[in-house]
Amino acid sequence: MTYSLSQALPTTTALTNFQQKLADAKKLTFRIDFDSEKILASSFSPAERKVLEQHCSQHKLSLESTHLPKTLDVVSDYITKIPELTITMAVEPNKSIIQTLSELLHVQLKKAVVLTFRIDTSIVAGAKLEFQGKVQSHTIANTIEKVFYEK
Amino acid sequence: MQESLLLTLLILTNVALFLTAATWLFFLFRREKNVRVLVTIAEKKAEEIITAALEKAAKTVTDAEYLEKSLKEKLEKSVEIAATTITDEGKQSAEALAGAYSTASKNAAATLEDQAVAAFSKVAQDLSTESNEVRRQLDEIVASEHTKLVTELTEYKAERKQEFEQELRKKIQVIITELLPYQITIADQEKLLVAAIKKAHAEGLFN
Repeated sequence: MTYSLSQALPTTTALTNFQQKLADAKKLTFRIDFDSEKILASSFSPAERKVLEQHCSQHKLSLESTHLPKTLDVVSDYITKIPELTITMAVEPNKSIIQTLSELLHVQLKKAVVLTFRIDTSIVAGAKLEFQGKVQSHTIANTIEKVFYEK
Repeated sequence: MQESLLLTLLILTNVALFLTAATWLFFLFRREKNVRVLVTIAEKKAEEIITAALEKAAKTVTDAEYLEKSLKEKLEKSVEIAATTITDEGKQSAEALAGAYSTASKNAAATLEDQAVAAFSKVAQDLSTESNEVRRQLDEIVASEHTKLVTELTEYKAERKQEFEQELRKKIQVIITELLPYQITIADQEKLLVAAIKKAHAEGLFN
């Protein structure tokens, strides 16, 4: 089963951490006698390495020592360019929710989206969504207020 | 004729002679007498003169009285005439004066009336202007007060509405935050999130 980078690391936190690891790995390539395998093994978890390798395979990027610094930059740049969807919800999302939303967005949008979660208990349930400057509120609180206040 | 004449002449001559003689005799005989006659005559004459003088005097007195009376009458008449004239003139003058005064009075009255009418008209106009000004000011005040009252009422209503909405919102928030979360499971949250994403996609959030 193949995952896109955003599916494997769907949240901003995860992607930021991954991006930091890319930067750390990049620093290791500054040594003259660096070993790409050692760098990848020491910098990423097996799951993360698998995601990286899949991403490089999909985008025809080489993880060979001679290309590793540039590949790390390209991947980091790719992560930076992934559009962000901010989801404000009432409870802390668990892995199941994150996974479900990630897959849903992958299917619905057919493009990478990184999720940023914010917690606001007043919205009760549902979500307030912000994407590229646009905002929509599909919350239970909002629905209740509409029921009460709209004429 | 001649005989008559001669006779007459003769007679006349005789008469004349007789008369002459008589006269002479008369004068002779009557010289004394004449003196006495003359005296008498003189006395008589004097008496006549005196009488005449008296008469004349009396007449003069009478005339004087008459004249006095006449003068008096004339004077009275003149006075009467004068009085009448004066009276008439006075009356006429008075009438003329009265007429003049009447005209002057009428003119003065007319002038005064005109002035009064003009003054009254001006006062009426001033009052009208003042009345209009007062009415305009009252209208402005009423409009201002009306606007002010409407504004205050609107603000009061908005304030009350806001207070009511705030109270209602608080209660709803209490329901939302205190009651509903315990009624919504994680599974419900997931379902509602999925529904929200689908709805947002349908409404073009990701376009």
